[in-house]
Amino acid sequence: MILYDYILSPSCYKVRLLASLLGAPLDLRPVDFHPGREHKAAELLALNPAGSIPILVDGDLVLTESAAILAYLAAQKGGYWLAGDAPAAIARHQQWLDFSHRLTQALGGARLVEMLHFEGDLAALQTRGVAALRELEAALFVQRLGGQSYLIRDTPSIADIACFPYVALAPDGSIPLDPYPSIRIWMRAIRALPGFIEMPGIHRRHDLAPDPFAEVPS
Amino acid sequence: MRLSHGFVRGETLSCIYHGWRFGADGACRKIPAHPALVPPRTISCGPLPVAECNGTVWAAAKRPDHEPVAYDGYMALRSVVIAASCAAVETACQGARAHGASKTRLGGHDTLLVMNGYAPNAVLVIVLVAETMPVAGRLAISTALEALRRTVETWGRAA
Amino acid sequence: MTSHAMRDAWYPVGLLSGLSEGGKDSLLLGENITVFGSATGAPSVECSGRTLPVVRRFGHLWTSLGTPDKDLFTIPEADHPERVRVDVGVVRVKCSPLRAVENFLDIAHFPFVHTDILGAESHPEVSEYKVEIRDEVDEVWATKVEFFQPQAARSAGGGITTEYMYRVPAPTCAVLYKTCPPRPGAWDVIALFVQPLTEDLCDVWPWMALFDDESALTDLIHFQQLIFLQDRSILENQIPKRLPLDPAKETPTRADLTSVAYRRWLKRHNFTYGAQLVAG
Ligand SMILES: N[C@@H](CCC(=O)N[C@@H](CS)C(=O)NCC(=O)O)C(=O)O
Ligand SMILES: [Fe+2]
Repeated sequence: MILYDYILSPSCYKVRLLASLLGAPLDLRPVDFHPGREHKAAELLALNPAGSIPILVDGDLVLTESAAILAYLAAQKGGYWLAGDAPAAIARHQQWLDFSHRLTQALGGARLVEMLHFEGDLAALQTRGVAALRELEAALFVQRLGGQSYLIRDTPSIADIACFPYVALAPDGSIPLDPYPSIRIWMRAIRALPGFIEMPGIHRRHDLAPDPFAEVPS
Repeated sequence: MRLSHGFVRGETLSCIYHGWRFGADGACRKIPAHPALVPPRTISCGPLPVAECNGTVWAAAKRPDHEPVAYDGYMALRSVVIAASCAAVETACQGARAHGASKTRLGGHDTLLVMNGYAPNAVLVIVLVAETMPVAGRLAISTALEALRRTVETWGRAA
Repeated sequence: MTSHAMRDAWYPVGLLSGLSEGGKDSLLLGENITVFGSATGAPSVECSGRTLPVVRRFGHLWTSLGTPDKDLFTIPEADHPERVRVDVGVVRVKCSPLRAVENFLDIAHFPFVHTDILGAESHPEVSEYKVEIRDEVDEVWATKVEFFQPQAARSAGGGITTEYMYRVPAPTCAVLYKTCPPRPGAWDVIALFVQPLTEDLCDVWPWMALFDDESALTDLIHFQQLIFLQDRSILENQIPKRLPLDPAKETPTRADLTSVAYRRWLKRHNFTYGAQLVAG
C-alpha cells in the first residue's frame, strides 16, 4: 500500500497513525506540499482531482479522503476500530467522522494561515475552531460521565483518530487548548495507545518511556 | 519555557525543552545535559503555594494566611472558560455570593460557581455540585452551564 | 522603536524560486514592505515608496531597511558543485527572531524535542566545546561540539556521534556545519535565515547545502521541516517573549555557552530588536 504523504499534514498523519496502531506497513511516497505544491501538479491531480492528500493506492484501488482511508485500513484488520453493528453506534461514529471535516476546515485552515502563509480569514477560522472545540469538549465530558474514555465507547475507534490530529495541533493556529480539560485527558489517552507515533507539534508521552535517571531523588 | 508542556516522572516535573527536572519544592534536581552535576540550589522554577479542596486546585501568588473555603458536600463537576468579564458572568447567574462562590441554580439544581478571571476577557468557571448528584442531574447542570456561557457571550457581542 | 543597528543588516524576504511579479506584502522590523519578483530576473523590494537594496544569495532574496556597512556574509563551502542546495520554504513562528536563532544554536534540547532523531534520552550529555567571538570577522563561533544522534541526517544509517560547528554571521542568521554521514571528513551545511517581522513574530527560511546523492530532494526538505516544526511549538511557548540580554535573568550551564556568547555579541552591537534589556 502506497500512501502519498506529507510529514506536516495532519490528514496524512491520521493514516500513518492508524497504520502504526494496527501494525500495518505503508510505503510512504513523500509529496512536496510546501513549498512545492506538488499536490496540485499533474501526476497527483490524475490520482486525485481534488488536489488534496492523503491518497492511498493499493493495487488497482485508489482512495482519497482520510476518513475513507481509515475505514479501509480498519476493515482490513478485523474491524476492531470500526463502529460495530449497533445502529446508534454506527450513526454516532459517522457523526464524528463528518465533524472531523469541520476541524480540518477551521483548525487546519487557521494553522495553514498562521504557519505556512496560506490565504484565509484567520479570525473567522479561529471562531469556528473554538466553536468546534467546545462541542467536542462537551461531548467528551458526557462520555466521561458515562465512564467512557473515547468518542463513541470506552475503546478508541477511527472517529477518535480522525479528530485527534487537528485538535492536538490547534495551537499551531493560535488556538489554545488550555480551556478544554476533557479534550486534554482524551488526547493523553490516545497518545498512550500501544503503537502511537508522533508528528511535529505533537509530543510523545516521555513519561511512559523508562526513566533514564531512575535514581533522581524526589 | 512553559512547564505545562512538560511531563511528570516519579516525583519530578520535567521540562519538555531540555529535560530539567524539578521537585515538588520547585528546586532543580537534575540537568540531563550535565548528568554528573548536582544542580545548584539557586535553580528553582518558583513554585506557587497550592491547595486542593472540593476537587478544585487553588493557587496563590504568596502563601495566604488561610486555607481555601471548603464547601461541605460539594464537588467540582467541570470547568469552562467564558469569553467575558467576571462581573458579566456574575450578573448572568444572578447568584448570591457565598464565601467566594456564586450560589446559582443550574438545570434545576443548586450549584456553586467559583471563578478566576485570568484575562480581561476570559473567566475560568468551575461548577461545584452536590457530591450525591445523580448522572442525570450532572448532565442537566453541564448543559445549563453551556447555555449560561452562550448568554453571557451574546451580551458581550451585543455591547 | 527599531534599533538603528539592526536596520543596517541584511534579511531574507523570500525564496528566489517563489517570488511573484504582482508583489507580496510582508513586514521587516515592523515596517511594511512589498517583495516583487521579475520575469527578467531583477527582483525588488519597496518600503513606503522607497526602493530597498537587494542581494540574491543562497536561493533567497535579501534586503535591508538601512545602509548595510558590509556585504551579506558568504558560505564558501556551500558553493561546492557536488552539493545539493535545498530551499526548505518558509515557516512563520510567533516568537522573537533572536529566540529562533538561539534555539538553532542549542544542542541540549535534542533528546527531548527531537527524540530518537537528533538526540536520545539515554545520551543527553553535552560535553565541553569551544566558543569564541572572532573579532576579525565579527562572528560568533562554536567548535568541537559533539553529540550522540540516533538519526543525524536523512542520509544517516544509524546512531553516530556527530560533530558540529556553529556560526552566527548576522543578528538573525546562523549557519551550522555538521558531520556528513556519507562523506567522512566533509561537513553538511544547514542554515537558518530569519526574517524579523516584529519583535515577537518571524518568518524562518531554513536552507541547506548537503552531500547526499541518495535521497530525493523532497525527502531532504521533509527531514528539515520535520525538525524545524518540532522546534516551533517550543519557540511559541517560551517566556518571556523577548530574549533576555540581562545575564542575571537566567542561569546558564556549560551547555549554553554558545547562547551566552550570542547574547553578549547582540548586546555589544546593540542588536536589540526582539530582545529584553532589563529583567522584567
Ligand atoms: N478531506 C480531505 C482533506 C485533507 C486535507 O485537507 N489535506 C490537505 C493537506 S493536510 C491538502 O491536501 N490540502 C490541499 C487542498 O485541499 O487543496 C481528507 O480528509 O483527506
Ligand atoms: Fe530544535
